[in-house]
Amino acid sequence: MPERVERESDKKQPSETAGDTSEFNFGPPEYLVYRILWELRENTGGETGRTKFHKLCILADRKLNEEYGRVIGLPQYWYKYGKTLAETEIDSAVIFNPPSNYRRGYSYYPAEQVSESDFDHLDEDLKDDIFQVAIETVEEHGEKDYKELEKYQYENFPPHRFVTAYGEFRWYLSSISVDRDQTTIEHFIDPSQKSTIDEMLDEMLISFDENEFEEIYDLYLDWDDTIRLLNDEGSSARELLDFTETFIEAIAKTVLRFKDQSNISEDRLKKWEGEKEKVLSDLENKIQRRRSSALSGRSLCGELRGVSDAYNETISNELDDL
Amino acid sequence: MADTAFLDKGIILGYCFYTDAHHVKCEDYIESSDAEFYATQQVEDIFKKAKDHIIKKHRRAIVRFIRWLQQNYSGTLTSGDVAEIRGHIHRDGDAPWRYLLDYFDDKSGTQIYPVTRSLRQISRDIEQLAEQRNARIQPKVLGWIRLATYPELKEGLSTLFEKDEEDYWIAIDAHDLGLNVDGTTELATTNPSDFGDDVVQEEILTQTAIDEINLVFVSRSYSS
Repeated sequence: MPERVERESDKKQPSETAGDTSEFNFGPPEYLVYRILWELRENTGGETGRTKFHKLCILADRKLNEEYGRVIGLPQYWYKYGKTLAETEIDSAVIFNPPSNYRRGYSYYPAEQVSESDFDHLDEDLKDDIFQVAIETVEEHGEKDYKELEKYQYENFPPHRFVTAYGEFRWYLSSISVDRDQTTIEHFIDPSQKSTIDEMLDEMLISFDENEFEEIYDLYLDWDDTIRLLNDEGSSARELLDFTETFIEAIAKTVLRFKDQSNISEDRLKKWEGEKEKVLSDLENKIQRRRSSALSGRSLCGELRGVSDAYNETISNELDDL
Repeated sequence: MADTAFLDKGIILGYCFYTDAHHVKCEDYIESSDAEFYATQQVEDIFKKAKDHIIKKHRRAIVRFIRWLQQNYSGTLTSGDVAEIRGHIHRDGDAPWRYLLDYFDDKSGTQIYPVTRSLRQISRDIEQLAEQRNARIQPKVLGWIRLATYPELKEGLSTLFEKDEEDYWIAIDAHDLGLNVDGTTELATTNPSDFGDDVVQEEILTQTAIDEINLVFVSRSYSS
């Protein structure tokens, strides 16, 4: 189906909305957000957390695009746990998000002071499509929890093979750290799991695109060898998972949210750009700290002795070049 | 040997990075001497920067090489694979090229996984050795702060200044140390290209408070 990009002209002209008294000027993205929250409140019951709400908006937007040929300009970007709604780029008046009663963070509901009539200025056909997509999306995915939605997104719409590879690695580590006996402090990995970890890290290493992710390539190589070192030295699955999350957050902040984004304002992109240097330097420091600590407990392997002459010659040249 | 030795960065780096007999030469110099060793913050800073740079450069080059291996080979390496791999190693661009060539000399018939594992162990051994030895040598080296710049020496040490300004300031640091401590003072260095030069040596020994230049450098046995 050909795409229809929704524009200002899709809003009704003032004469058509002469009777409107809305204090808002919502666009199609706000209507989508409002309808998703409305469907969630009516159909799933209970609280909806931020991540779940964001993921459902992204899925609805994708459906609207692929099945209805609508491009409504929903602001979004790829972050740590997959594609997410850029909530701060949306008019927050459509959202009511009080602190959650049951978990950390906030619960999301449609704002009470907003009603359907506040969207009367939007094109009726477009509204019908958004209305329908919100129903279908919540019917299809509304019962999934946020982790299932993250996984669904990673498995079905990854922006890159490397993203799939690190997603699978993260879920594997997460599953083995949860399966362990949680009453003990240390959760060591048995040798069979070690080989799975090595295989998954190999898949990541092979699929890493040094041209696409150039800014973080060197630090990725440092991270890759360090997590293998931590694994060799007996770190727990929880420690490996934490170290993996550190890297995923950094690649999301420095590369992925720039590569896979749409409808993000220039101001926000500039702010992200300004954060890059510190994110990379923090990552380098974290890797080095973990690496130094792991190396301090390691026994020398003696592999270097086998190439000693050539190695010493190399060092002599390094010293000459200083 | 003199009563006091001012250490150039290369001595500390050699002590940290060399293996086997090469390391023993540096170790003998440090361990078997009664001299007091000094270095300035500048030398310490240059050393730390150089140490981290060498470690990082070799580690990243090795992991990058492993990545290439894993993208292109699986199972057992044939003699053809090994020849191809050795051909892929860039003599100009890859920091570890010499020891990678040596390493692959006898790897025909070996599985790729143990190869990549042991290459990782080599890079970790380099890093670990350097850090362990650095921790061992640092307490033996006393800090020295130079307070004067001795502009009057610039003319007398003009050959060294023109060769390498950084080394000129190393000589000035050692001169300052020699003026302010009792006994004889030597400048210990692994840099024969600047400090081994006859004119430079003559200038230093006649113009400064340095009594001796000790070239603790390693002779070359391997030709590129």
